[in-house]
Amino acid sequence: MTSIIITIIAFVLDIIFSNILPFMREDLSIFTTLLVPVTVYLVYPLYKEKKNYLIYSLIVGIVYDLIFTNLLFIDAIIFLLIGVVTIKMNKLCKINSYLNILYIVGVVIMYEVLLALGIGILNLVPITIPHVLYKIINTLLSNIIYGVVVYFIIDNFPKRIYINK
Amino acid sequence: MINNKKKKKNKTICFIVIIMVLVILLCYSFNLERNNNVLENSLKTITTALNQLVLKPLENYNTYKEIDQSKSEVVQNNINKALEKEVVELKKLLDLKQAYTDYKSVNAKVLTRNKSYWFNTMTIDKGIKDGIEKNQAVVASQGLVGKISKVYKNSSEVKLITADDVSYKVSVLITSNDKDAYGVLGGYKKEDRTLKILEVDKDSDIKKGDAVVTSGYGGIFPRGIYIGNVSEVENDKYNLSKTLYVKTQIDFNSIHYVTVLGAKK
Repeated sequence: MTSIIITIIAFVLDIIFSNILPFMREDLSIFTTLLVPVTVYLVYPLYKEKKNYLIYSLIVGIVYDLIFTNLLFIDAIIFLLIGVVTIKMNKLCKINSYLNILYIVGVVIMYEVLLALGIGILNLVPITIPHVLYKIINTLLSNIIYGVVVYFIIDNFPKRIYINK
Repeated sequence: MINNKKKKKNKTICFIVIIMVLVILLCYSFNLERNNNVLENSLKTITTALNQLVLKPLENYNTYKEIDQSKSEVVQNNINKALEKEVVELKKLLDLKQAYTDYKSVNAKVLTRNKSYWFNTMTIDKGIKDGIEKNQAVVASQGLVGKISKVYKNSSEVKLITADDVSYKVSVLITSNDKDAYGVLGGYKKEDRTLKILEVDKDSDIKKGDAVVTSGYGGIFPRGIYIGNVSEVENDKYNLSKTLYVKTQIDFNSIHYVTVLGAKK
């Protein structure tokens, strides 16, 4: 339930910010948000079962597609991959506040690179590496701030359960 | 031992099948021209309603609410100019007594901008139930914004004229004193907020300040919708055509209300 509340808050914030912040190509704000994909990574400790967590990732991806991109399953697949990588990462080592920042950066890079690769391979829009880097750089700041705050809340959540423990 | 081998084999087959399903889903989802299915339409209706709910408290902060953007002086003047010219041409060439003068319009509010960044699209709160159809022109008070690219029951997706999709080209007309010229919109330059116009006849006499409107060719946009004024003219590398830069009055980053131009009245 907590994970759903956090995800709804992320959706609400993303909707509001998408209406306020610039979104034109090469004309982004340094505070460009990508809160929902980051939330998918952050809420992992709140799930007892890996299967439930992966189903959650998939559903959030589909809803994200419906609200923001109209791309049907693209974000669902990317979110599922973020979920799988999150499970692996949590197996490898216990996440602390410093590693958390590193993982948020990793999630943002993973999301942007996978999306750009898909679009680039199918030649839908001209994509260049500097463009992808520009998008990533402008998306980091607000997501790190958001990620640190949510991590702090989840870390101090009384019923926290780690799947990998 | 045999059981382990069998399990491993089953796992590999399962993995291959999953990858194949994912690839098929990706290809299907990336088809931008696909028709929306029933499930997508129903789910979109729910998410649009939630979206509207989230944005409801913010509505009071915008003063342009419920204004018909097509009634804007900038848009109207240019539509009229082009239409007057069209009327003269039609009378002259086809001996017609009447021509269309107006379009049905639907006001809409911008719900979200596409967060995938690359596509330059946004979602508005009007859809099939409001009479919106695919490929209708979308205008703001300062000129052309884009076209409807996808329609759902209670929302639609607008593809902006700044988009540089491989398959999305907008034919434009540059109205100068001497002779009209035609070109194709080809991208957006963020530094000075100008639109690039390619493939303009090199012999055309185009000056700074000439108005640029939609040409009506291609059957998507009506003729004469204002886009902007020429701010720079340059010859291409091989001197085969001219490239123009058009200063648009629209700040594409802060569009909150638009008007969809529907069928002719």
